Amino acid sequence: MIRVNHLKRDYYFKEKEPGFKGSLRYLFKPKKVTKTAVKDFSFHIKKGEIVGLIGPNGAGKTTLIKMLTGIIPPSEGTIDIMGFVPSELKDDFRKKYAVIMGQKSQLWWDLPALDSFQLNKEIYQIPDAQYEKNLKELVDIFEVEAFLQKQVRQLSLGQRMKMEIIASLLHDPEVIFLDEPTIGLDGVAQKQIRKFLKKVNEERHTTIILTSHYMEDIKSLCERIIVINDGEKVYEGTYQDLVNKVSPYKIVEVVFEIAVEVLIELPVEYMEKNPYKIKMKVDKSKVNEVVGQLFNHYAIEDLAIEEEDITDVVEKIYRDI
Amino acid sequence: MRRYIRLVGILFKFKLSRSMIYSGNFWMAFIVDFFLFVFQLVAFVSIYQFIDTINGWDLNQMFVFIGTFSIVDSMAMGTFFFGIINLPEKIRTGSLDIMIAKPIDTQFFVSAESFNPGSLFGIITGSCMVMYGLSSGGYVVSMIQVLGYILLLIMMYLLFYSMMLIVRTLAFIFVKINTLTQVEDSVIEFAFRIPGTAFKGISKVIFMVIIPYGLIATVPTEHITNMLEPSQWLIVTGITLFFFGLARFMFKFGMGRYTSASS
Repeated sequence: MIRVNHLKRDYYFKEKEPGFKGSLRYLFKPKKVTKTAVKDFSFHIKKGEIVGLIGPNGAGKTTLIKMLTGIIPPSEGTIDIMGFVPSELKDDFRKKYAVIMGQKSQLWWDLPALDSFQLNKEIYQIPDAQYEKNLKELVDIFEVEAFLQKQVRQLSLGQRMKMEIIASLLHDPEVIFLDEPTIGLDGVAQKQIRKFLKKVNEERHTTIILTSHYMEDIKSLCERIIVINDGEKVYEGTYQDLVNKVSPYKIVEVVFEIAVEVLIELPVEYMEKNPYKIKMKVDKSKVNEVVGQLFNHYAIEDLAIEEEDITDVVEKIYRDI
Repeated sequence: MRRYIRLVGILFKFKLSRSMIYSGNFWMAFIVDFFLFVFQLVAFVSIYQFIDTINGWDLNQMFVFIGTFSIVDSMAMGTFFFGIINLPEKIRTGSLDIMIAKPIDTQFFVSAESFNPGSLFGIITGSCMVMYGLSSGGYVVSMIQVLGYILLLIMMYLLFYSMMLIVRTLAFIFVKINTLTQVEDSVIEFAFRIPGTAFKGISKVIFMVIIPYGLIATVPTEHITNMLEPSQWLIVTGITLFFFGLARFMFKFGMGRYTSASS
């Protein structure tokens, strides 16, 4: 469905050195700089997949989304989406996808969201019956009926993002590109949007390509993730494989029934240690052995085994890969 | 084509609704345009107290000119003007992204996105002024002449649109074009509001052909007051088509160079 081969995107700009001299030089003989935002990037996505694009700020995620949607053309390489070349900007292609940018709105600020939906109905030439059906379904899922007549500027960020998603999905797109869809939203709204995207994917087999800084979005939605760093693809695979690769530890927390003065020797790295409680990083392959030894030697009141904190994992992904 | 007409209708309805929400702004557009019209009128009436003609144009022809200027200006202000002047900002901030992603012609969307219904009242005042000038000048106008006048108004409206768009498409290359738009404002003030008959020699070539703002209100006025020679129709049509085509080319060329902005 989506085939991207050896994609490259260069940006050209003039660089200004500091100070007055720098300004003069910039005016008469500017230093021209080329920045390659995306380098030799290839991947394929099948229909119905949910793929997460992750990477630190400035890694090239948004540039990639913009090339996939035809907003900017690539400098080199090819993109084939459902047989279309995005940069040709054919109407038939643009009718097949939706792009939702967390920081850019398509809603008319001073009018109710319903008016923007009406405009999209005309732009996408959505038949009346399909429009009514989709609108009702989407409004019911997001429980936003009460806000449809309210001016967009009076809506909360969460309500606005739900309206953005509704506006984008009225025409039943085959592919949805989401660039930071949950940015700035509270936990409840984030969860609702994740649940909804999952439902759309399952029921309509919509292909979803998602960028997000919230690893929870990626973890709960994406079957496959692509990590991009400094414009290059540095990983492609499942979230779990990635976590195993960069984080070979589990966090084990043990609460003892009675105070333990002397602990046996364990192959762990302690994060917290006192007579009543220990918290440690344990190599995944040694978790069973460590837990077994603790049960053999001590009376244990409580035991918790968890993955490493997701924020730490993300930091490691960007640092180590 | 029907789809685009429907879209114009919806966008116009939206802007009308929006204007009515901000009623002060709605009436302000009307009041500002009306006063600009009156100021221009007063200026020329004052000049004509001391002279009979400006290069062959008498006061009645000047009334027709001011009315024609007001009609074209109001058509522009009421339709594409605010959409087009926002184009450089959309390019600079990347807010053009969402428009490009929509399955309609981006140039159309940019142009039709910011209707300003309050400005359209100027068409009425301008038409009254044209009729007053024609009547007090004793001009007998045939239906064919009226149709020709309307056709020329549409052509000059397209020329005005093309000129404004060409300047702003340069933002695709240079991003910030404030200086250029300031120069353009001055040219409009100078060449659009003054009858083209006032230009001679090199200034005539510049303001009637190279940057033909001088044609916009002058040509329909000359036609309705029997001063336009048939051969000039060809020249005016050629200039309009050339600039309209150039504007389209520049927009498409610019879109190919669009780099958006960081999110």
